[in-house]
Amino acid sequence: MVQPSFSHPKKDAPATTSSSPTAALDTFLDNQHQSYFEELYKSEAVCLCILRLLPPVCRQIILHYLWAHGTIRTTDVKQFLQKDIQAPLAEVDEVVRPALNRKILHPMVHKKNKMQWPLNDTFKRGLRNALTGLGTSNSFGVPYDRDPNDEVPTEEELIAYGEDTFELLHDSGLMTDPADPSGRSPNLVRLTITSKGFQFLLEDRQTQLWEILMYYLTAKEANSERSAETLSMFFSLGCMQLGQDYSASQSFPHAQNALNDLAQYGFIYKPSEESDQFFPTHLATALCSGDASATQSQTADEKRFLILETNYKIYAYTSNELEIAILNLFVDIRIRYPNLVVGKLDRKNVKAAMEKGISAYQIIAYLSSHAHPQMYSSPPPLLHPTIVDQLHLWDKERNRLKTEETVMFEFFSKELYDDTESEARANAALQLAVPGQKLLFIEPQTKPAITEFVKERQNLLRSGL
Amino acid sequence: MSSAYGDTYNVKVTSGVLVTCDSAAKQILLHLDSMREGPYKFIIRDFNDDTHVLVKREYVEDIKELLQNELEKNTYIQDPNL
Repeated sequence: MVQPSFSHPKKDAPATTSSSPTAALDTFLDNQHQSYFEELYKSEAVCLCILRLLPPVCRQIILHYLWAHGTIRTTDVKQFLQKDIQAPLAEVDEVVRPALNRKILHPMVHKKNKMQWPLNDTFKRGLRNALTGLGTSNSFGVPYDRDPNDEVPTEEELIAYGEDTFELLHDSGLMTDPADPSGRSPNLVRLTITSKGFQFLLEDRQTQLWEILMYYLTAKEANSERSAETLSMFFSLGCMQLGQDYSASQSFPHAQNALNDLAQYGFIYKPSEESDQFFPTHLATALCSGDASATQSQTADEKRFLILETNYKIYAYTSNELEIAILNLFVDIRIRYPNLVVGKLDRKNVKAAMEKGISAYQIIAYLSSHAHPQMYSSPPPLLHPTIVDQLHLWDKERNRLKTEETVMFEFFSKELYDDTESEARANAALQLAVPGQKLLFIEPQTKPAITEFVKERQNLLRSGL
Repeated sequence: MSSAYGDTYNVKVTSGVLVTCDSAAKQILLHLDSMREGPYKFIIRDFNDDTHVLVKREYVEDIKELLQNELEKNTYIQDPNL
């Protein structure tokens, strides 16, 4: 039997990984209606952030036509992109598609043989105001009128605060250290770590932030609350400045509750619960920057603490409780020193993790992204193939059987078999064909169609063609 | 082809669950099935193919569990005291 090679896993294998940090936001926005966007675009900050999230060429086109009075003509866009005037519309459409999806452009209209996209008026006004500093919605935040003698936290303090709170959220929300004296049964908490939860831990910081925010937003919607205000507040926070304090009541008069919730997640810092003054932390201010490193707390070196030997032993140079708890998911931890954890990847623990839905790809991604610099000094590949293969084998063990509902057609006539096979193949209804015994396996939902076909052929053949 | 035998054009239709697996797993399934009696047999049709077998729908979950148990028996587990 030919063994499949695991050393170069196909790129598409972990289908859950998203390329863009704002993937969660994008899916949310893609499902919204025109009216939702109209409400969002009342805020200048939203217009600016949405613009930033567009692909560069699309952004350029929007900015190019922002101050024009007319609509955007397809012929102009073609010229702008230096495409042939006869080029198919699909090519242009592809470029401006993101703007159409965000309802920045209205769907195409035909006027006197000219095809054009009208620019959304609300968006146009919002972005113009954002660029010129006009507008009255206070969406960029209103600075807090503070006593000049008041003590103000420094940027470093704000970053540290955001970090601590966010880490705490990780700890309590996703998993806890078994030794955590929080009173929760660690067993129960560990049950909550799912494939999705683990995937979440593998994402970079900005993706995580957007995922949390979108989760929060969908929860709000489920309670049938209006989410547009809250979403536009997220964007406003993203445009604020680190180290500056803002007035909560004036900046977000309609979203006070949501703002308090964000304080718990570490997005903002409030000196006291009732205070009207708040400071956005780096988690909030970097939301729309597109610069992943801005939200990254751990420097690259801090993240690289794992040494994995070919004998499955793991040395983790870390004292971070969260990291140790993650390791504990699939590593049999044997020794724990203040700055070093020694353990072993063994079948029992890895399979237990896989039972929870964590895939081999995810474990491998975790191991390689946390590999100690020392591991790079040995010849590549980074992780020894033995271990990578073994992880995949353990994963495969979990589901060695692939089962699918089927309908088996058993034929006695070669002619009829051949005809039906080609018919089923043509309709993509065929699961398996065994010519030796004249057996066909057909998708159950196509059974009526195939039966029909077989009957017709039977009649034809029986009547002697 | 002679049309003298009208029933050569007959077709038998059976529904069930098609299992796709590696050949080792299939052999274990065949073995497990041979240990079972009458109505408890789960294989509807075994055909000349190393990696496929047709089984009864109601036994699919049982089969998965039985196979896991069988595999577990055949796994070497290092004595932790060594």
